[in-house]
Amino acid sequence: MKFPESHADFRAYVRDWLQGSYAAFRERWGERADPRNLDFRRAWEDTLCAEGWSGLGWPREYGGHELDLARQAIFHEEHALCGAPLGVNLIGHGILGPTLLHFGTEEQKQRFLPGILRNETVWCQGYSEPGSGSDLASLRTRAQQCPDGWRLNGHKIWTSFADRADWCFVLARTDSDASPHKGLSFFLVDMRQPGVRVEPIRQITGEAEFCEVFFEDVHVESSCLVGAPGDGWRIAMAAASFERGTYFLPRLVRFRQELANLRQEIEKRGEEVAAVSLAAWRSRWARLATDSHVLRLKADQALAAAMSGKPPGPEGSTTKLLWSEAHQRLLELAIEVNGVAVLQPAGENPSDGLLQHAWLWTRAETILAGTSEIQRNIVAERILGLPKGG
Amino acid sequence: MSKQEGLELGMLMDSARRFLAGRREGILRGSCSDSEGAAALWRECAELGWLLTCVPPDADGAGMGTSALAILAEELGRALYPLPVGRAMAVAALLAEIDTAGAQPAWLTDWLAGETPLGVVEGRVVRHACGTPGVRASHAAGEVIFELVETGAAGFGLDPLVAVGRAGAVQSAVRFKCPPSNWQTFEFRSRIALLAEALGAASGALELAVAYACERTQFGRPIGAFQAIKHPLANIRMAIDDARLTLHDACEAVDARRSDGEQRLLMAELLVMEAAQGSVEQAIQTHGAMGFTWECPVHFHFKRVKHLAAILRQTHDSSVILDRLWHMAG
Repeated sequence: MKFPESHADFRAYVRDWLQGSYAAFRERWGERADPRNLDFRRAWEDTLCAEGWSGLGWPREYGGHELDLARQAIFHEEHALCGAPLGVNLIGHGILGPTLLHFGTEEQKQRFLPGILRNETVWCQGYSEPGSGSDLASLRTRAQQCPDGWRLNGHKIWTSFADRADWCFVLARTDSDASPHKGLSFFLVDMRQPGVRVEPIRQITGEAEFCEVFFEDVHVESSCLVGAPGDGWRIAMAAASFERGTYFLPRLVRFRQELANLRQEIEKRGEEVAAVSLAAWRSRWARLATDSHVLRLKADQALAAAMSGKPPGPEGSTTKLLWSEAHQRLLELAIEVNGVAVLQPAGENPSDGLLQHAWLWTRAETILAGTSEIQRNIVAERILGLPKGG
Repeated sequence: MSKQEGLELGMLMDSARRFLAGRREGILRGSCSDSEGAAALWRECAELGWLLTCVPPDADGAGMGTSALAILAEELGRALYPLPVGRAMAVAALLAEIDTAGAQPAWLTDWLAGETPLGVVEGRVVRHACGTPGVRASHAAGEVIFELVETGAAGFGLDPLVAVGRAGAVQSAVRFKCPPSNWQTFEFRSRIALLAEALGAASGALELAVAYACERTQFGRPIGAFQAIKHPLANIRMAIDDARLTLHDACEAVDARRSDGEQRLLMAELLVMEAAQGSVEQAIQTHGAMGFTWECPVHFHFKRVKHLAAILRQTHDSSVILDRLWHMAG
């Protein structure tokens, strides 16, 4: 596929393609075209990949398009603008692929990258454990060397899409004598083998995207260790930084769309409520519009920093905090403005319950991928230089 | 903003910060609070070229944009500078943009040349009135009007470094033709200068608080290691950074004469005042009882921010800003 070079032409090209293709796709799915439907999300992701919209920034020799970050950002933004849902293999495309490109052996690249590009292999991320959440480096899943590789034992939790995933990248302890961060290694684990057990966790939304994953004497080939033994922490930290510059773009677009919807709702409901309530809603809305403006400026700043090759810093924590906390305020206001209507069971309308679903989800956003408390520690220690806590 | 502009602004900030660090102690001692001290300090500002920051090079200025004004005003705020440099920069920029036909009165040219300090009129009061009259700017019927106004009952009130008096009778006035768009830019720049000053005073307070949290030990460790101390300070830092980002975005919008310039400035104003007031309050709390002493300089920052907040609220407070933002976004 040959993409236009100029950013404006590229944007027009992407928009044109997405508008036509996504509308047709949605049409085919009819009432099942619902962002809560994971089959729908997977199918759209498959379509994108089949049409060549994957590996946008990857090198050509591994099937990528070598697009500059600005054009990748345009794609992510336009994709969100057309209303299409995020896929179920974001972790494969956004985290594992770039990690292998950076740290993987040639054999690992040849073996795993094509499956991600075609969306045939769905990946999940095995980091958190029941006893190791914010203190991730304390994790206890162990990998012991055996004659033909490694034997993995342990218990992971909050693993998104583990029940759909074909493979999992796992942080496991390989050296119990080393300091907590230094004794970890980064493994690629086939989920479709004996000894791997997945148990979905029912969430407060009623659905089950998160899972528990149990590894019991699971065999891992030697060739599925990424980097050297003991490199796990360093690789995991780098892996988390690859989405810098583009991670928040779809979320910011969604924020803006939800803000616009909320405004309409306030205007509609404004006639039914007391003047002081309406004034308070408008104020809260305007404050959220200001947050949205800041998020936009911060996204531009992050993209510019990533493009100029600056190493990733703690600024990702500041964006995550602002976005997740403002998003909670936005959905709280939306729930308030919608009044008792939010209490009623879903009716015939396919969009029924979407607001409640999004609202409940915002409670996860200040916890997942580093809680707000951990993010504030990062800002305090790495930006302000305050001492680490005991 | 181009890379070159970014570098220039960075250099401007560094040099201003270094220079002002050397003046801070004298300022806090009040050595610039009489008319003699004020005159010396004002002369220095002019010699450094600060007053002509936004004046084109062909009129002997530095030819920089509004971001440069914001950067200087922020550094002046950080140093608790007691003179109206930001407002003078905005006046000088306006006079360079419009046709004054060489008819500027001596009191105005002397002020901008650094020869005589003057106060500035903000609504009902004259700020920085160190035994001097104040300058008032207004706009009517396509003309800008500069007036030299008497200062009544001046003295040091809430802010012990900035003398304030009542705006009194007009001593002298001059009018120039001035298109509304130039006047609007002047008003925006004047507001940006006040906001940047508040941001600087707040940022200075945060630095004091962080330093204290690293040094003060209780329960066997620096208090900054406790999340009850470190998280509020992290919040303040983020609020200040976000406010600065929006303020500089507003500067660019003003320079580009963007139609949404006012909207962007109102957002910046909201965030700057939130961050600034939060910062000085948290800074006192972080210092514990020390924060309530005169000896600890954090109260100067607190008072400067509260002083600026009261000045800004004369025309619109946060409720008004939020209401206007709601309507502008419609």
